[in-house]
Amino acid sequence: MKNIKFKFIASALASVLLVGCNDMDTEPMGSTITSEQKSETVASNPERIEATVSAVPAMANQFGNAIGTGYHNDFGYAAIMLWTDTRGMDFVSTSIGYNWFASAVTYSDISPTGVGTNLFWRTIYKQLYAANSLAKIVDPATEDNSLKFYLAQALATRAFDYFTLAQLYQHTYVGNESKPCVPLITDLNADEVASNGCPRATVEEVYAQIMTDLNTAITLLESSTKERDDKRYINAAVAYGLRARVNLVMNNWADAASDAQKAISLHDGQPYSIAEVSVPTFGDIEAPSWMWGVLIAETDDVVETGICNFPSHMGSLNYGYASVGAWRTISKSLYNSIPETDVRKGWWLNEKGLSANLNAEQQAYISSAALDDNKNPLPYIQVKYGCYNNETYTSVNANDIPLMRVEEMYLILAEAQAMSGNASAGAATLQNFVSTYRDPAYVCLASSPEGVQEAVWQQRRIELWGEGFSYADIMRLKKPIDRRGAGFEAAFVYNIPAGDPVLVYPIPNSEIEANPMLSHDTNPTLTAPSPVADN
Amino acid sequence: MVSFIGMHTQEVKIQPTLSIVLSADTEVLDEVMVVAYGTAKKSAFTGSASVVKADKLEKRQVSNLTNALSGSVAGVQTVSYNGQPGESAKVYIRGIGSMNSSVDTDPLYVVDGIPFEGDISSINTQDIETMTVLKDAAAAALYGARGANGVILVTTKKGQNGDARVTLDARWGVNSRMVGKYDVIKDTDTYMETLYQAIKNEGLQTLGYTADAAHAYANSNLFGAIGYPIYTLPQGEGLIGMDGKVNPNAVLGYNDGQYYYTPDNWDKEMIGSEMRQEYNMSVSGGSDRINYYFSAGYLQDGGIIENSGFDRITTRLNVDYQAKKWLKFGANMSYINSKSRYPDEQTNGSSSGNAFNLAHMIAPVYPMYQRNADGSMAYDSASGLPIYDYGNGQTGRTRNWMSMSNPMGDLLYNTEEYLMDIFNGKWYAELSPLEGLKLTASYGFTVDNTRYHAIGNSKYGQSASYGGYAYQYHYHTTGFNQQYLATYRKSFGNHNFDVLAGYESYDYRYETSGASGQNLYKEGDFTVNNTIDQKRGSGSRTEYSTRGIIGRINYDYAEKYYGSFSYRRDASSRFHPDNRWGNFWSASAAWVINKEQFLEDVAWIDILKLKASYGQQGNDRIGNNYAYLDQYSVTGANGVFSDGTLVYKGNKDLTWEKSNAFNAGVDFTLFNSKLSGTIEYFSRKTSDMLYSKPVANSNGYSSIPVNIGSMTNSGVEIELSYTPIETKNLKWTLFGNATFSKNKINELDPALEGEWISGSTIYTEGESMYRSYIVKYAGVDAATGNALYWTKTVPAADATDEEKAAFKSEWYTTSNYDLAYANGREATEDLLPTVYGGFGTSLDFYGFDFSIQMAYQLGGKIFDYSYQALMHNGDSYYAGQNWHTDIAKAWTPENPNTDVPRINRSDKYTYEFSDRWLTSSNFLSINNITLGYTLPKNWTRGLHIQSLRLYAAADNVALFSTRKGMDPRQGFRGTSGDTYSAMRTISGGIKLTF
Repeated sequence: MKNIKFKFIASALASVLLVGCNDMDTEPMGSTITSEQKSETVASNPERIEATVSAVPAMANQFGNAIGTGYHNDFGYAAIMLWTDTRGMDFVSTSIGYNWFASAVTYSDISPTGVGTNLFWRTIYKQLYAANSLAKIVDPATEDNSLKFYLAQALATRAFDYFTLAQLYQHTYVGNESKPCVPLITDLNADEVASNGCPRATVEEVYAQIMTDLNTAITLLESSTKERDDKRYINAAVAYGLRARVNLVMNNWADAASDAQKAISLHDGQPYSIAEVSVPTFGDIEAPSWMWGVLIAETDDVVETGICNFPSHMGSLNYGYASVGAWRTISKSLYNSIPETDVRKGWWLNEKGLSANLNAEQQAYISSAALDDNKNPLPYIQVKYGCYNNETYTSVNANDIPLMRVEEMYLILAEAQAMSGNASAGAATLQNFVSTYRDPAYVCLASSPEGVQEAVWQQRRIELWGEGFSYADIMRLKKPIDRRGAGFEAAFVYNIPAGDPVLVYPIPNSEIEANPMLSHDTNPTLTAPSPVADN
Repeated sequence: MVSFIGMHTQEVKIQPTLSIVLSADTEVLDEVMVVAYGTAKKSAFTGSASVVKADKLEKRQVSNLTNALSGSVAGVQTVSYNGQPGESAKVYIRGIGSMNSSVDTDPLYVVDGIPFEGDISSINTQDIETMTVLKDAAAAALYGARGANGVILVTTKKGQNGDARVTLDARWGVNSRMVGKYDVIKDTDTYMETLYQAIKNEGLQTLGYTADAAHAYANSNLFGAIGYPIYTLPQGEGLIGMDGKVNPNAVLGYNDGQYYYTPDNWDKEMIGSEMRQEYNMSVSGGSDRINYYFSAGYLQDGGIIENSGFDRITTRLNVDYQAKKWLKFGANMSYINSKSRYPDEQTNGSSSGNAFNLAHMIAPVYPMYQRNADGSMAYDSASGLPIYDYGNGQTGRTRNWMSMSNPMGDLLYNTEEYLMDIFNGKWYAELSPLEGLKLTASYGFTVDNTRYHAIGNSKYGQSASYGGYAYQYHYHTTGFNQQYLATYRKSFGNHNFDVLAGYESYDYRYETSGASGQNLYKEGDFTVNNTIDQKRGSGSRTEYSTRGIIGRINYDYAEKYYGSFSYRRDASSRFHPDNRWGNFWSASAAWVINKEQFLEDVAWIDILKLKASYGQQGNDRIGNNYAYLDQYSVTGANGVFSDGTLVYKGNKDLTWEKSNAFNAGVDFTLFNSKLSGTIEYFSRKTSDMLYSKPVANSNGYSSIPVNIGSMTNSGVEIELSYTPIETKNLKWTLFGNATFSKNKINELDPALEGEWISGSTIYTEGESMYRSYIVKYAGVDAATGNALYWTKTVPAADATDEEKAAFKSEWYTTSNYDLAYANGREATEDLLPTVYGGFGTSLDFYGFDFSIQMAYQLGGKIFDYSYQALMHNGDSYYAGQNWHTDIAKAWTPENPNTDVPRINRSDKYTYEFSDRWLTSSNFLSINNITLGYTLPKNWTRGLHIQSLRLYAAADNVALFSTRKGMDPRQGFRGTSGDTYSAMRTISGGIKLTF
């Protein structure tokens, strides 16, 4: 019996010991970190605060983060560029299964449950969350050069984001100032609206916030000595460039002109030369023309997916969706309006499927790949964008994405000069820019402010084709979307008048359902346009 | 008399040679059942549980035990989305207790007393003695932490006292597809004629062309729409004549001088018959002090498509040893080595790599193989395999639908496999220091090493463009469970007490590491060092722990009145330390009426027991192991980190979901054991539901985990077994079960004010959660052929509040779906079936045994997504995708009265999501038919063979549903044909015991 008791006590003791060292603190290892781990890391290594700063631009380059990895068009800001360009009239693609942006061709993206509006909304608001989180932890009165720079990143990005949203979810600023726009969430009200919801602010209120943020960002950047490490970050030139864009939309012509001028003078670089754009390119953030861009690394998720990235859906010479049939082509009538002397004529294949900008390997590749069902070459396919590392048919789609090029600043300057009353200065700026950098034979014939504005728009349609500006320009300039003569399939040849309600995206249903301050009647019921006869 | 628990008592008659045979008898085994942390006599059990026994399991040819549960237990539903061999079915016990799909609703599996979170396919069904489904709180409350979705106790076989018993079982069979194809267009002519209609009608109706112009427009766009010219046409003639029929001069097949194109039957080429074979052997036996069970098995299940399949070697050793009078110890260890060839695109809905999707959906217009100009097949010189046409321009043609894909080529040229080494071990020691007292320490350890290899070939298909790829991943899972239990039994006269106290902990760890690369040096080598480009590595680890203290008191008076109380205090690492602990309990009672004096003389009642229970269980399965913390993902490159991507918004206040379950029922055995059964009423109310609450996306995240709302699943379950005939040579049994269940939302987030619409689902307090909120289809406009939908008039946008209040909306039909969506959506009725269950019969006669088992459900509805997709409008997205033959009923001026709209490829609203696709989910499935013959003993005795049984068995024999091709067993709301389809297996086998 004694023996038994001993064994009993021994086993009980053993049990207690095992229980004692049986704690249950768990934590993940790997790329997912908890908020606890994050604060511990920053406490022991203060340099890691920079990771919260670089997270803001990184949000423009995430795969499957907005809607889900099943959506091969969910890859950040560049998807919004593609989507909105597809809606217009200059950027032509067909409605086939491999065109992940086909619902913008057909205007079936007008539904509040559509992928498009949800993609825009979540992509942008997730970046806003990152920007607001950064703004929250920096004291606005800071005197530290690095912290000033960090805060400026948050504010300028926030301005960029609201500017993007404002142009998608309401008609342009002028004439629509009091109409509802989007919920305005900043670092100051973020916690409160998380539980109570947030109503749509007016267009006026949203633009006021955009201007405040840009003004503060410019002050911070001009007073900070910190230089940006690379062009994913916003410097003073970019901030001025953003404010120039906003002033252009608000028709503050003089301010737009001076901001554009300031951006040009502060930017350390110049437009692409004729020689530089006489080959497929536009994929390297280091190009002197680029002021700001999305910096892509080969190891980024969007690249590792192979086909869920901008070059896949856009590029004709690399591996991806475009080159298996979802080709991106320019409007035939726009192409025909480009003079032969303009280097940009070679940014697209001509009616015979040829481009002077291609080398023999590139031309041979595209001539074998881009064929219709009768094996005739397909025309007007874009070769503006080149392959990563210039390697034809590469599957490494790690091209950087342009967000602001200095060329745009010259075009803003020309338009704003003309519209602020000095038409001849505007015409000269335009003439000088185009003839120096694109078409030596170019002559600007316009002499009225509106004439110059029109001539600038023509240049914007060509120069900025496929860079996500075309839809915003159509809205800003109150132009119809006239797809006749562009080369769309007959069923999608639309002529949508300016100001048509169908041009404004509905607030996503998921937002309305979960935001107590919104109701379904905030969205008008839209009717898809009907096709018209082509010409 | 020779007797042993669980064995037939046989009276031994005086015979020339004396032979005593102990044969397992299920009737008697009923007496002792496995319950939480122990065993109990069935008559003493106060909870609700159903048992599936070895004899039923052994008949099934399933490569995963979850598939054997379909239709066999009341209150249990199985949903099988993935027919890949070895994959688990989803098991739901008494309904789903959650509104969130992210919340894990799997029951807890407990294998030989140890909670098991490993791969359930690693348990060989042939090793299982019983599966006990614990359904109410009294049965499962002791698993408090993880028991809220029900518990399935799996008990493996043990040796029995006596001479060694050796069993050999071998079966060979063939797999084929159980569920047929939808009725789709099978011939190329009809497909092209229909597509012609879609394009011609666009010309006529949308673009305003004349009939001639529309005809020419359609003919000139026809081959362009699909991407392949698959007919040879006389010079200058079109494919379709003015009569809408294929030109009689057109010849199917086209030669462009380099290649020949002709359509192939993709379905027939891809989905076929594969082998299934299974071999099992076991040796078991025992003496007074030791008993042992040893088994080994080999299974090869080839699935129904090439290069998908499941090969598994299982071994098990189960030993108990009574070392001293006061000490017993034992171990139960199994080692499994399996290889699952699992081409994972097969369950990825619309993926171009999914053979089932293409087989069901591709139009009969595309070649699957590349052919030479003379029509002969082209072969790959290295492998001798055919060269597949990926429709990616390899022959100069690009398929419009699913270009750059060929699942068959992928299946043959690519490799995807999971190689698993799984060890499950349990060790225990049991001390009996005093009479009635038992102290047990048990340790359960699971380790799962899974290696994943994938090769994308360098020659054909998507991976060819970058020279192929190799993936080499390793997943390492460990689960360590510690249990310390003390039980004490004591009787004071007729008062019997049984007390249990204990402590349990569980620690789970999951680690991944892997690498991938592109550009293969040599084919067939999955190692990353076989590649040179884009080499990448990755790794992660996650953990989870629970701790629990348990206690239980069972009391009975004279084995007539039973009462039980159990309690568990549990902690889960998924919650903040302040909210980590929860208390769970149950109370139950039973009354064995047949032991009352007033029933003593009622001969037709054998057993009659009333029982009732109530209790509370918990659930921590929110779907994230650190749910109380915000989580970010760290990205970056070239020295720059980014840590701001919020991947999970946490909630510090998150805590246990509670499930309050009430159960009352009656167990009976009547008429000299001819009729037995159970009838129970259950009500399970889940409150403080774990719930990923959607928040406005403008916050930058889309949901936050909370405890909100409550929901009740209630119903009645009936299980019956009736044996009308039982003689020495003939036994006939009928069995069946039925569950009538209802779901009701009691309470939603107060902010929702009683109703929440999420996408096309509506949640309303007081109603079932299985209701859709959708547009109602109003048929076809006889004048235009447009699809019509119901919608309502609404007040003008600038109306005053008074006007709005006074406004009476009226229903009308519109062809504008967006208008109907905005104003006309309504809730559907409850989609959940009214009743589900199974039934069957078995017959034993003169050595033959025959059985059939079926499952059914009635009274529900389901969305048939595949049918919707097969009724498309032929637009440029769908050209090349097949149509259901119902498209022939489409509106035309000559056929104005129909419910199928006109086919016009620019009509946007032809096949929109509406109640048009809502289909009855009634089904009847024949799950198993078995016929066996056991040779007479006097034939085999001379060979020292105890028994020799020959049998034939068919599993998943047939499914009857309301539409051919539709499998309503895939889900509660919707079903589609684009997943690995259910599989029929027909086998013959032999079982030898000596």
